[in-house]
Formats: sequence, structure tokens, C-alpha cells
Amino acid sequence: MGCCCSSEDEKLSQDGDPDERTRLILPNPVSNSQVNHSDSYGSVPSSIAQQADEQSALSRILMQTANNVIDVSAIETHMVEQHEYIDRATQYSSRLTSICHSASVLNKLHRPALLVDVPALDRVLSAEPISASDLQFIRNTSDHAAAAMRKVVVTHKEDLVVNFGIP
Amino acid sequence: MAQIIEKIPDILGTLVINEDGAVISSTGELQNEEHAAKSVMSMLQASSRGQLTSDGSQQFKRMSVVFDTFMYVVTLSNKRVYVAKRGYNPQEPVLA
Repeated sequence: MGCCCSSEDEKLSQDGDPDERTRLILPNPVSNSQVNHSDSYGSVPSSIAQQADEQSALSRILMQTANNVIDVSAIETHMVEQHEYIDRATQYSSRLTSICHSASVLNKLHRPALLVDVPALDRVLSAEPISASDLQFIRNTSDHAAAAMRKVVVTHKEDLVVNFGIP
Repeated sequence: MAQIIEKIPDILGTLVINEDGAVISSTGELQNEEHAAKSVMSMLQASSRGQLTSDGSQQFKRMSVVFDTFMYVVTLSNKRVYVAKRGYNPQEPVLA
């Protein structure tokens, strides 16, 4: 068998119990059968190619792992000095105060100013509903107002484009 | 609030909204009606431009949104907007 003994060893270790010579990554069955069927001259380059394949696979795994790992210790740390810290704190607080002030002004603008704040809440909520005649009057008036608004039209009288200063 | 609700006639549900428009509490038919709260707030904001009198001596205490069988009564108290949904059955005959 000559050089094929290595493949024989492999075969034995694969069939028997795992020992120190057992491969952790098993060669795929296609390449394995190729090794067994090839003669003594063909087996040497194929086993070398297999080894190279394995090496490249291992290095690919290593590369992938390295890509997935973030090395925290390699990142530069920026130490904040005490006075810098105080400066920043004052800057942020002043910025916050100005933002809060403008926000409260905005809120006041958007606040419902129609209603006046009443202390006797229950009396207002329990009061008699608006009378039917008042409601009818409001409906008629708003209908008339809406109808009048619909009748508003723009009457075209003069040219839309007027020339200035041209004799 | 519970005692106040009990006193209101034909009450169907209530909403309490803070001045930022967030619902503080809701009961009855208005339970979890965030959309209704939003509508009420936008109605108040849209109508806030108008003034009852030029000198501002008279102001609105209540906004009523009246439908055929129910109505929403809105009022402001202690910086909170209170919305009550009440049944509505007009006593007088509606004039044509």
C-alpha cells in the first residue's frame, strides 16, 4: 500500500474509538472515497490538497471570529477631566433651561384658551343641556353663514398681468 | 371625581385630560378613548381664537357637542379638561 498507510490509519481511527489521532473535522465522504480509490501516486497530492483545504477552512473560521469580536481594550478611551466635566454640566443645564423655556411658551400658545378655569366642576357638567330652540337657532345661523360663504366668488375685472413703466 | 360623576344626570362616560392632552382617567363609554380626547383638545385649540366679548369680561365655561341622542360636555377645572358624555333627549319639540 506504500503511502496509502496514512489513509489506512485514518480509516482505522474513524472506525474505532476516538484517540489523539482522530480528526476533529471529518473529511467529507466524497474526498475520502477519492483517497481510498486512488493509487499510491495519486494519494499524495490529494492529501496535501485536503490539508490545504482544511487550513483555509480553519483560517476562514478564525477570520470570521475575529470579525465578530469587538476588542474593547483596543478602543481609545477619552478621560474626562474634572474641570471639563463641570464645564459640560453647566453648558448642558443652560441649554436645557433655554429649551424648557421655549417649550413652555409654545405650550401656552397651544393650550386651550377658549374655556375659563371653573372651580365648581360638577355644577357645570351637570347643568341642563342647551335648549332645543337655542340649538335650532345656532344650526340655522351656521347654515346661513356656510351658504353665504359658499356664494363668495372672485369676479374677474382687470388683467391678471400688468406692465409697469412701459410706454 | 367619583362623587362628581354620580351627580351628573344621564352620564354615559367621562374623560379627564391634562393640559398636554394626555388622558389621566377614563370611565364608561369613553374608556380608553384616546381618539376622542385628541378630537376634544383640537376642537378647544381651534376655537380658542374667538372671544365672546371684546373686553374679555365674559368667558366660556362649557363646550357642548350635541348629537341626536347624546352629547359631550367639556369644561376646564384645575388646569384639567373634563369631558362628560351624557344622554340627550330634548324636552322641547324642535322647531322647523
